[in-house]
Amino acid sequence: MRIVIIGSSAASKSAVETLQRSGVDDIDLIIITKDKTPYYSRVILPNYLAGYLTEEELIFYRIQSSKGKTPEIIHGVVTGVVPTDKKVLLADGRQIGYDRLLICSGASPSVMLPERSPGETIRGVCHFRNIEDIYQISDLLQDTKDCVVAGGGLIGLKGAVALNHLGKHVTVVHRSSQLLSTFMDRQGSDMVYRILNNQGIDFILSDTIEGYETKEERLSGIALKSGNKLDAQLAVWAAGVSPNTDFLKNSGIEIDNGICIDDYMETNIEGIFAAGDVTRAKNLLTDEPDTITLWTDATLQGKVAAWNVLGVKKRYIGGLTMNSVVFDGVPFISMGIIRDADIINDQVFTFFEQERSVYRKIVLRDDRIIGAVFAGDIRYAGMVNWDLKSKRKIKNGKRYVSLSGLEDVFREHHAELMSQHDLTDANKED
Amino acid sequence: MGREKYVFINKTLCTGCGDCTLACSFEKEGLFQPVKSRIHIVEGDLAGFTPQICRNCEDAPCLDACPAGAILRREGSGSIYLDEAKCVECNMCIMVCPFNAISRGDGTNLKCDTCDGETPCVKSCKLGAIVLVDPDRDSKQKRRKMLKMLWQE
Repeated sequence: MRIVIIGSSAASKSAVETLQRSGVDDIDLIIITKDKTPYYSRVILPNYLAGYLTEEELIFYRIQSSKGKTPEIIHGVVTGVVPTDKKVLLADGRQIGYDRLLICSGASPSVMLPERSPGETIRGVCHFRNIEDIYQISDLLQDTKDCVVAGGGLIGLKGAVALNHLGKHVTVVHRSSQLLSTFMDRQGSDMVYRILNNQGIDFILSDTIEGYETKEERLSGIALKSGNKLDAQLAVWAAGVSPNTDFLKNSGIEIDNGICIDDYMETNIEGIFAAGDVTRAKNLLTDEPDTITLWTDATLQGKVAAWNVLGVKKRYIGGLTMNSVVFDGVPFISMGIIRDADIINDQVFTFFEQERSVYRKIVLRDDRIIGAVFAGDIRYAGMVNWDLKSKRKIKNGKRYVSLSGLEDVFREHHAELMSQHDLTDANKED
Repeated sequence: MGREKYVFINKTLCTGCGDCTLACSFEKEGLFQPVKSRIHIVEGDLAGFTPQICRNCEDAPCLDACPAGAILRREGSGSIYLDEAKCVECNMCIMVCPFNAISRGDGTNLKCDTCDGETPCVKSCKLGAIVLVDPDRDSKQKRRKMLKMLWQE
C-alpha cells in the first residue's frame, strides 16, 4: 500500500512512527514536505532565536528505516490533490500517486504582513512561525534597538523573552486586556505579567497596530489604534494561525476553517485523511468542532489517523486545549476550560501562595474536572490531566489544589490501578 | 549484558525507607539529594508508601508531547528514556504523565532511564521491592492473567 503524507511536523511524525510500529509490512511511505529540513520543531524556535539551541538541535525526529524499508522524502510544494486519479500535484509539475493520503499540512500566520508595494513587504516586519522567519529576524537584529511583538499569546511572549535576552528593548502589544487570554485566567496571567515586566519587557494592552512608519525602506515606528506611537526597527507578528488548505480548493475535500474530519480522522472523500493543525476536529470537552493548534493534539491526531489509514478503526477522543510554559524559572501549565469568562455555574477551587508564587486552580462541572491551572509547582499536573480526559467523577475537588491532597489522590489512583492489574507478580518465574 | 529490562517497584513491599532515592540521585548526580532522584516516594498513612517511577508505557504520552524530540523509545526493550542534552524544560511531559514520574531538575527534566540495566536502586533495596522486569515476560504474564480472567467468566 502506497501511503502519502503531506507535511513534516508533529502529526506527520507520530503518523510515521505509528505506521512503522503497526506491524503491517507492505507499506510504501512517501512524505512530501516544503521544509528544507524535515521535522524541525516550531515550538522551540524561540530557544533557537535566543541562542540556546543550534539549528541541528531543532530537529526532533529523524526518519528511520523499518523492516528494510526507508520512507521516501520528497521536497516540494503541493499545489493540488486529485481524488479521482488518486494523485497529488506538485508545483514543479511532478505527480505523486497514492492509495491512501494523509494531509498534515499545518497552519500559517493568519495576519497578512503590510506591503510597501505589491508583493514586497516592509523590511523589519516579520512573522514568527517558521525557521525562515527566524533567519529574517536574526538578520534584522544587528541594527535593531527597539522591537514590538504583536500578540501577547504564548508564542508572542516566548518570542519577547528571546528578544529581551538578546539585549533588545521589547514592547508587547496585545489586543485583549489580559495577557495569554486563551491560555491563562486573570490570576495566572497577572503572575506572568509581573515576571516579564521585572525582566524589562513593556506591555501595551487593549491596543492593536494600526500603521507602520518607514525610514529608508526600513521600519522605524509603529502607530497604534489608540493614537500612540512607538519606535521600532523590528515588528514581529505572533497573533494566531489559520489552516493551510488553499491547495485543496478544487479537490472536493470539505473545508470549513480547517479540513472537516469525522471521528476517524477521515475527510468526506474516502481514503483521504487529515491530522494536526490543518484539521477542524472535535473538542473533548464541548464535543463541538474546534481548531486546536497544539503539539499534543497534533501527535494524537497523527497517531489515530495512521491506524485508520491502515483500516484499523480507532476513534479520536477529541482535542483538549492544554499548554505548558516556563517564565524566569516559574512553570505554568493550563488545561481545559479555565478562563474567567467561560466559568459560569461551575465549582472553582483555588490555592494561591504569594511568596513562593504557587497557584493552583481546579474547575469542576457536574463533579468532573473541566479545567486546571498549575503555576509555580506543577507536580501532579499530569495526573489531573488524565482525570480530566477520562471524565472521572471527583468526590472532593478541594483536594486537587493542595499538595497533600494531590498526594492522597495519587495514592488512591495507584491503589486502584494495582488492584485492577495486580502487577505485583510481574517478575515471577514462569 | 542481557536483554534490556526496566525498573518495577512492588508497592506492597515498600517501607518508604528512601534508600533507592539516595542511590538514584548519587548515581545520576553524584549527590545524596532525594529531590534529584528519578524515584520519588509518596508517604501514606494507612495506604502505605507509593513509589513514583516511570512505567515505560507502551503508548507513552510523554513521548508524544515532547516538542524537542528529547524523549525516545529504545529499540528492543521499548523502554522510554529522556535525552537530557536535548531537553528544553518546557514541561510538556510533566503535563501529560499520569504517574508523576517526571520531575523538574536544573537544566533538564528528570526521568528514570533504567541505567542501562546496572541499576543501583535495585541493589539498594533491602526488601527486594525493586526489581528489573523483563518486558517480554511482563507482557506474557499480563496476557496469561487476562486469559485466566476470561476463562473464569
